[in-house]
Amino acid sequence: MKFGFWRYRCLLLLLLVISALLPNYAMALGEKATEPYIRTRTVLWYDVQWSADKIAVNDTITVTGKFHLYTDWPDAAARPELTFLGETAPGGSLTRVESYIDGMPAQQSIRGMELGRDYEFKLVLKGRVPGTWHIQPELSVKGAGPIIGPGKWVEITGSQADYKISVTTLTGIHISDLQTYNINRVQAWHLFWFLIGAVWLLWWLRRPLIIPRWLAAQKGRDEILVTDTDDVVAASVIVIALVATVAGYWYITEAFPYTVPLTGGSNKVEALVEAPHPVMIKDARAEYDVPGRTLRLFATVTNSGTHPVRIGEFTTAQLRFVNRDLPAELKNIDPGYPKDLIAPTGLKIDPDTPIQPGETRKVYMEATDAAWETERLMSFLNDIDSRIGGLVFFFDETGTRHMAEIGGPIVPVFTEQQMTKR
Amino acid sequence: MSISREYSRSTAEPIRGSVDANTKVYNLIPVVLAWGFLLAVYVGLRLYQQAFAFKYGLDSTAPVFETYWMSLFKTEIPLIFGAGFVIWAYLWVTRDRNMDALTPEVELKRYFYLVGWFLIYIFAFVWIAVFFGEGDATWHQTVVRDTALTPSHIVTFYACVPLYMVCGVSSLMYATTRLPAFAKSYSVPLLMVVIGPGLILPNLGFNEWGHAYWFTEEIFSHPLHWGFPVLGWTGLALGGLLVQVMSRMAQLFKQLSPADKARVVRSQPAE
Amino acid sequence: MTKNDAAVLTAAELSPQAAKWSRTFDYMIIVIAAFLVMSVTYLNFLLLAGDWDFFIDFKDREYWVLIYPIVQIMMAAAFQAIFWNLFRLPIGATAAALLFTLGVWIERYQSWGGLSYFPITLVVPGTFFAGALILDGMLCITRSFVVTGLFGGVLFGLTFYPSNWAFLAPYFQPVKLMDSVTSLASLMGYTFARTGTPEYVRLIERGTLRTFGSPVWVSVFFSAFVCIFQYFFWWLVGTLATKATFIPVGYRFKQLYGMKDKVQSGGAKPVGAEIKTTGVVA
Repeated sequence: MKFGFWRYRCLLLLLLVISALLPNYAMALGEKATEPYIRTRTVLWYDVQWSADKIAVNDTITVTGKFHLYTDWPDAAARPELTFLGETAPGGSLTRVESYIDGMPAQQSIRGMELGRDYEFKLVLKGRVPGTWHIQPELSVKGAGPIIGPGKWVEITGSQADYKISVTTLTGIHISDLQTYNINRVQAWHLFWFLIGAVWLLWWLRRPLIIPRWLAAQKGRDEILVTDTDDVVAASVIVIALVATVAGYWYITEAFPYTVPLTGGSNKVEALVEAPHPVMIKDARAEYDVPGRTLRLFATVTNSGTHPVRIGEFTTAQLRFVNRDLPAELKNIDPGYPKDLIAPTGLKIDPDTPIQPGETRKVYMEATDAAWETERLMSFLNDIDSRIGGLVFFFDETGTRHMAEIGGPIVPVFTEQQMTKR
Repeated sequence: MSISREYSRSTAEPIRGSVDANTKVYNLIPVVLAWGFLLAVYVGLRLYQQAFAFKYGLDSTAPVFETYWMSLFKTEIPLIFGAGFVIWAYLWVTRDRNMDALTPEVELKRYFYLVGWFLIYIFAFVWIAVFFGEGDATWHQTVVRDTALTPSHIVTFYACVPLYMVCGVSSLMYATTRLPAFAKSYSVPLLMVVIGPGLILPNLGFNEWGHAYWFTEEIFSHPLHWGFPVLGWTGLALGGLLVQVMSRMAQLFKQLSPADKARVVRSQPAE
Repeated sequence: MTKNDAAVLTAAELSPQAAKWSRTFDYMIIVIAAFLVMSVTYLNFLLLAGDWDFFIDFKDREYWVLIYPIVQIMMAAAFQAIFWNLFRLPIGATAAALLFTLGVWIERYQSWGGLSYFPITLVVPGTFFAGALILDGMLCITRSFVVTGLFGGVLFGLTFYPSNWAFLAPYFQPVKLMDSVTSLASLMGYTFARTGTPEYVRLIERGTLRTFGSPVWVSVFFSAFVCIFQYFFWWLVGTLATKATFIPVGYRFKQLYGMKDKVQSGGAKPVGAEIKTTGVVA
């Protein structure tokens, strides 16, 4: 709209100046407000990697990784019948270039994902607004909302003014910048209609208006309230509106004969080929030591494989508790992985000796971190089912990783007397 | 042209039984001041959002959220409703206790002031209905919903809504405490235009209940949100209020400045 | 002042002094009415059909074309009823379109562009100006809301799509994304990701028309059909909204205002009781 356009331009300029004066920096999104049952028992992310810590405007960053759909999916969240892979980045700070689930393009939503299975994703994002942004993969599940993965702070340098997205249509038209494409045409049409509307309104509003017309209408003096001249003006307005509509439509269909509808529909993606699960966890239950900020897990582990295995990691809600005495696990940690998501105290395991093939053993694990509180993961008392879930990674002596789900009821304990004696 | 000149010339001549032609029936300065104040508040809030919404407002559990946003919330609610109570108390205490003795001249002026109150009320309302209302869509559809008290809601629902509620109830109180027609009777359209939009605040209860329990995505057109436009429709009742106001004002016009039919008719060529 | 203006003032039996006061009142009411039309039209549309207008990748053939006009005709008809019934002013629909347009452009720049960094191409709005001008013009010429509803309502629905396609068509050119054909509009929606708006949230066509012709015109005709009923219903609502109803207050309030209470229960004859709004002209 060109009417009063400068006012809005000025306002926009002022807003941009304010934005420019303050360093751009956004907090993590509100995933902490997501209930723990969603964060621990739905989409469990692992092996997530970011290709860079810092990129310039127009450069791309690739986020890759996998996620496991937890079998004991909570009732309060809809099942992943229809999902969409995205990323969290406020507003248009980053733009999406490509996205894939299991190698298949993920422009559209994905239907029929299966619980208990694993999927691989890849996101290619391009920097647009300079600043430091928390970039997280996200799987939106229809009816459950966005389920956010681990995030890393990535800095975008340069100037937003340099950002361009050019594209060539299949009919050979080159568009140098999609951000401004066709805006002039849209605004010219809006302005055209606006001016006719303004003339029509002024035609009426210049007259003695409210009380005089009301009194005259009460007396039935319609002939002086709407005159023959008004009829002519009204007819002209109708004719202009109809002619402009038909001519505009005719012109544009001649100018752009090849158009396609919005892309709709969903795609089916096959889950990753199921890896053998030689290690199983059963009868798991958990205690949360409130004053000690410690999650205590009790489980029965059966190794039905051919190699002895050791526990390397327990992960849930994007937090990783790693067994620092196990070199294979330490090798498994990408050096670029956000430090704030790896608990410094690690995972204490008792007994932390290899579980032999064919052996079934009761295992105790202890995961201590302030993140249980700061990430608000301990509001289990708020839940109707008070359950927790997660993934445990085992490693054999060849370094091969085996994954198993762990999950069960969780009980908060407030005093030492209440704790299960080991 | 000649007719128009003749008609306007006649305005210079005082008409029998009328009030002084130079009597100012309305003083626009209070409205201008109120608009200026409201404009400053709204623009200030918008700039505050620009500066701190994405910076400190995305994670409601963070301490900076408490500092920048919850403190705003905790300040604005008592401040706005507190100011409202002061205005309402003032309007009530200074009410006309002898309305039967009201002169037509004062009554006409009061009608103009009532319209002035509505200029303020509708100005306050347009900021949420258009400006911050769609701003809330910008927020929801681009970030993850984490709390009912987002930087957008703290401004839209807990600053803008209380502000127009204060203006609306004040308009209602001005009418009922100063104008006989509205003191003798409840004006249904007046109650509708004040109470209807005011109910948008309690309707948030429904909205947040839905979002908390079963509606995780944001679709603005979802039935969960239909309470807002339905309550907005009550604004149409300003039409009925206008009829009430102008019918009495027309009577007062004629009482204070009776038309000299002969003169007016003479200025017309034969129709 | 024109001859006609003088005739109106004469018919109203207003003295020149009263006409002056009345003009002051006009200006105040014009401002109030403008803000009211803007607010109510905007709020109504925002929460009944806003999503389709926010984003270019919501503007589909099945729902956008159908829902946009049938929501916008609501307030267009209601304000027509108010302005026509009371003042014989055929401006309600145009006022709604004009003020909506003003509001929508302010919002797209300050809110979507200013607050959350989206390019304006992603959030270009539609318009219902063509239909609104036709509705007002038709009411003026026919002076009949019945004829306006039947023919104007149809034209309101019919003109929406072609008048918008005139400037939105370029966004539907085919492009290639990850080896698939998609439209520029879909590409924009994909590129400028919105965290709270995953792809499946879009209420857009998911299938393809299986019978005849160009699918979009089926939606256009259906929309035109619904617009007729919407128009009449909302004309009625607008008419009801101008009822100047008073309910007498009780004894207690009157005492507080120092008024003499002539009738203790039921109250005195309400001041506005003699007012009746002008009848509906059909």
